Amino acid sequence: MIEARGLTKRYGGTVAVDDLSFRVESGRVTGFLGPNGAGKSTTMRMVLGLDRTDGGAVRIDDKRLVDFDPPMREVGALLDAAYVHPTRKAKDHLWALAASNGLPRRRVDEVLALVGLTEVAGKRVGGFSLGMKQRLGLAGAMLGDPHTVLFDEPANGLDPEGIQWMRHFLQGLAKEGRTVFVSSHLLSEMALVAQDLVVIGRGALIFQGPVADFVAGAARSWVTVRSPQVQAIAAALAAQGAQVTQSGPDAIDVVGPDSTYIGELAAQQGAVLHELSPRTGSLEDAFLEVTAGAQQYRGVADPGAPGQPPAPGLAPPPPPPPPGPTSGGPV
Amino acid sequence: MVNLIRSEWIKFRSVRSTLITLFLAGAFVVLIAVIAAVQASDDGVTHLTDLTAGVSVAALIFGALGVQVLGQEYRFNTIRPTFTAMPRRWRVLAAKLIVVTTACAAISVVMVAFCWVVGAALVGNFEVDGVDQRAMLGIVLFSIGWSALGMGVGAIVRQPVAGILILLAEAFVVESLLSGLVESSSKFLPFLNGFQMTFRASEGGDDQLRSVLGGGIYFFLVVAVVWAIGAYLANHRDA
Repeated sequence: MIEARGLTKRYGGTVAVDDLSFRVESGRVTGFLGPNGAGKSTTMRMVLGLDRTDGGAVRIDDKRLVDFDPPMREVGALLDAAYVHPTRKAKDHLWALAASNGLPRRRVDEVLALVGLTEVAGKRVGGFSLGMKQRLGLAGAMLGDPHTVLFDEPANGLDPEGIQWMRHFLQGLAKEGRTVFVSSHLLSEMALVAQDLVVIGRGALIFQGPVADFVAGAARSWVTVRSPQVQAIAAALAAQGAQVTQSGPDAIDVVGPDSTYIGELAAQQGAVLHELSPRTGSLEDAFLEVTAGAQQYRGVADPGAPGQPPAPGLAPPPPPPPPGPTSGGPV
Repeated sequence: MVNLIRSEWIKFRSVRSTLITLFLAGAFVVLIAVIAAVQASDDGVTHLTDLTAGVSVAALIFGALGVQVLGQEYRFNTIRPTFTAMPRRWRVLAAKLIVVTTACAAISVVMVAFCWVVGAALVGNFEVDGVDQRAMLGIVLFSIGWSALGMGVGAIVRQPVAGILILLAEAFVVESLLSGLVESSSKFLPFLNGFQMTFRASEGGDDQLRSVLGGGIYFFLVVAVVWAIGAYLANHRDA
């Protein structure tokens, strides 16, 4: 379990991390999300003691990192695949790390096999692709068979097969009861692999809790209705105060009433239904909603992109529901 | 601590540039010894110290090696995995110091031995007296000191190239200028004072410098202060 209390980091007059508290539970994959510049990497470095804090403290299983002996048996981390010396061989890179903690040399061979790099163990790292370096970084993190792992963008540079392998790898670690804390920009991937989320923006906590709560609280839900008599249904729903958006020649999206209510209303209208589908936004939708005001760097939006005015003929999109309160344990 | 020393030794020997640098330092000193031996006159006695003129350059190479040992960790950000694996940073720094100074001391012993062999083989009237033996010990100590100084500078600037340039400028530009312009400053110049340990004081002695022993102690004091500042910064700054 990782527990951060009041973490603060300043660079001159800029506050990178602002009184950030969160908890990462064992036996679950916890995703760490935030827009670029939100302070994710800085936070991870502070958790590992690499960046000095200007306030707050971190405990891993109720201990400071420096209290573990040897540290690699408790904590393993992959912050950046590029943290390797290019002229050093892969096995020497790992062997140096293992030796520092008194780990047996066979662990080097074991973790190389674990990540599928046995064949290139004797090659210099400078010739590795990003994906291979990523796997080497993972091997380094797993050398001590640690109980707690932190990965910063572990899927960077991996091909689809590698990403799938990574997903199973992270889930396997959590199933073994380990604490798994992982940041990623691949939100669809995070939705598949994480059970919990810590979401930050501009260095401050936005949300902590289960992924399902985050999506339910922040992403909009609606019901898609398709019918030859869709205009009659739309009129009846509008009369009941529902928000109705035309989404096709014979389709509408309805925010407010649930599918049971809409089905019964359609029956009262004598309308034939071709589709009645409850829908919920994705983790990506929820993330964009929640962090909309916390993005430090953003590009110029395309016409038609989310946030742009709706096309003529369509009702404006419904306002997003307010984000749910942060949940989870005491932080 | 033994584990960390083993780890640092693996890092040290597994990077090509480190081994090449060490080899170059030793080879340069031996090459200068061969040239000096060939040119030595048979009329007078040739001492071992007459063949070790390449030591000043070798010391700078050892200093550069010291810079690289830590500077490259920062350059390639491998310092982060290193400090994650061992959060007690001072232990890592101590292990690095032991490895780099031991390696440089070992190479300096080998290069002095080669100089001895070269002198015995090529010079007719070759002699190794007590002063030579003291100077040989001085060469080993000077090598150790410069490698530690380089590591300290590397910890402060965290850039291999900048660290090496600082060492070169200090030894060959700053000290030369200061000793030439302000004679009384010579007592405070670490390179010149430390360098006295490596040759016959009667030949190269300078009234403006400290004694060989005093100069050596002063040199190591400066090294200790620079290293301590570097270690303090490495321990307190973000990795």
